[in-house]
Amino acid sequence: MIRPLRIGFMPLTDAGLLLVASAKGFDRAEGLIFELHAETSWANLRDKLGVGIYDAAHMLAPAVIASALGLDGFSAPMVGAVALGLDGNAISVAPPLAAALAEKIEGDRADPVVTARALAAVVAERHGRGLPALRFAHVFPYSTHHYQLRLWMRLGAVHPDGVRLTVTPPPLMAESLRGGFVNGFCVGEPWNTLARDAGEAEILHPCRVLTPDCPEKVLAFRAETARDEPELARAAARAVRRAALWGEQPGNGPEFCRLIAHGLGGGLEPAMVAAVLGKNGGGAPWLRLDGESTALAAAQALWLYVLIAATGQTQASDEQAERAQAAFWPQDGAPPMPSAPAFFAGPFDAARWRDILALLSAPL
Amino acid sequence: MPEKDLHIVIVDQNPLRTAVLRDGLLEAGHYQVTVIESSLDLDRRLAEIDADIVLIDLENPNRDVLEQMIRISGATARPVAMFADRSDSAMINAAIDAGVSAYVVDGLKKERVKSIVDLSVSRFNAFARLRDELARAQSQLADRKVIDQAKGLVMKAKNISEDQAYSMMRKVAMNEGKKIADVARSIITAVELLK
Repeated sequence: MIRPLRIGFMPLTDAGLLLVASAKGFDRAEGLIFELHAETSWANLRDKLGVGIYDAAHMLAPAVIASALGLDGFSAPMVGAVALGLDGNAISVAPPLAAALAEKIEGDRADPVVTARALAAVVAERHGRGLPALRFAHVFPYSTHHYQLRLWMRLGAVHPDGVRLTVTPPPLMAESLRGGFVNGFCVGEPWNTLARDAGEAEILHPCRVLTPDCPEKVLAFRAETARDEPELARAAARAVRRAALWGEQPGNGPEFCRLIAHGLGGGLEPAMVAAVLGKNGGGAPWLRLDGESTALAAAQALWLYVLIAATGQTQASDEQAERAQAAFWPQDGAPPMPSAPAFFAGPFDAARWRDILALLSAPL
Repeated sequence: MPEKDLHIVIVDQNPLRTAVLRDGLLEAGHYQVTVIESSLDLDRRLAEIDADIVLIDLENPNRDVLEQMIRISGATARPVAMFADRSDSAMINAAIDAGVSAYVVDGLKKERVKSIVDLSVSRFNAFARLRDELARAQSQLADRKVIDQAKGLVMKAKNISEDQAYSMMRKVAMNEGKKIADVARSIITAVELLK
């Protein structure tokens, strides 16, 4: 028997595996029909999953951890059943700020330490001239976008009062930049590419240079549903994994990118998807949607917990660290471990999580 | 001691729906109502207002902006999603069905919040009904125009009276189990083709 699975998603490139699984029938192969519903906010996805309007949702990986810990006090606890890829965000700035940074850059501008120092210089200069603080936008309080912005700024010891962080929905980003309401942002695809191609922003860094192999989105279920019907979540996870493995086959790249671009709509070109996936022949990927990138591990959840705690959204404790790890269901195969080369050498080591937390949150 | 008048902010880009909701709130005795129609720079504008309750339509992407207000603004603005109280799942479901969500200041009395959310839900539903009625009225008007046009064509082609033309069309509609407006559209299409 085929069972429908109502899934809410945000129209982002990293919803791609859901779109491909549905278009190529990998959902049916697992006894499911993915009914995909585009949403307008992460809050809507969380709430509609919470009250059972959706069975599963494309969800920010840190928001799943936050819900498991009850950090916002009201989310129904979620679990991640499969990863929907790794990385994919980028930091972009408006042209006037790009010009101001270019004046201050000393060294290789592809190095986030170099650009962060330039940012610090711009912030200090603005402060000295009595100009208002720069504003950078991310997408949700519990998002890698938020943490990646903070980590980048930390590399330049940017004065915390010099930059205001705010949330701006990506569809409103271009208008917010034009209006001068934000000067830079960290968002997922296709929003960086779209802003760049429209001449609204310059892409500074794909976040893969800051935190390579960082878990980004997961397919989330209510913890209660996942406990009562684990096979449902497992089947959905297998369908996602099949889509990723299919897309990995060399001959399937063009169709994979086309299905994602068309599935997202809005005039998105398959070439834009191919470019961020590193499938256009040139350039390293920013976003990984390959088979390995769909695996989940408890240590990834712990890494996100470290980022949450480093941002001051909770007081770290062993008990929370334990619960955070249970929020990701281990999948077949081991995912690559996240790292943050500008802060510590080698991959994230779960046994050393408190040391790494200290590194990421030491007073500037 | 009388309770302080709550400052309610409506964030919605649909002016008609906003008017329906604001009128409802005023009737219920809430006189401090501010409407924000533009969706840009929402967090700064809200921080200047010091709202007690923010009502926002569910499809507005700015919901994620409000999520952040919960945490960053500390002492100034501190809304909490109304979904905070999971015990009242009927209220949550009704709100989601109607398409409205609310962010309220932490510590506000539950009954006061509930009455405002209930009112918003009923006003959002009233607006949806209004919109449906308007759409129906518009389609009836369009149907009437089509029927009149087809009637004229039949009168001319067969040289008969208006009443006769209309009863012919009605008879065809009844025999074929169609709406008379659909029959009229077929007549117009056919005449266009045969021109």
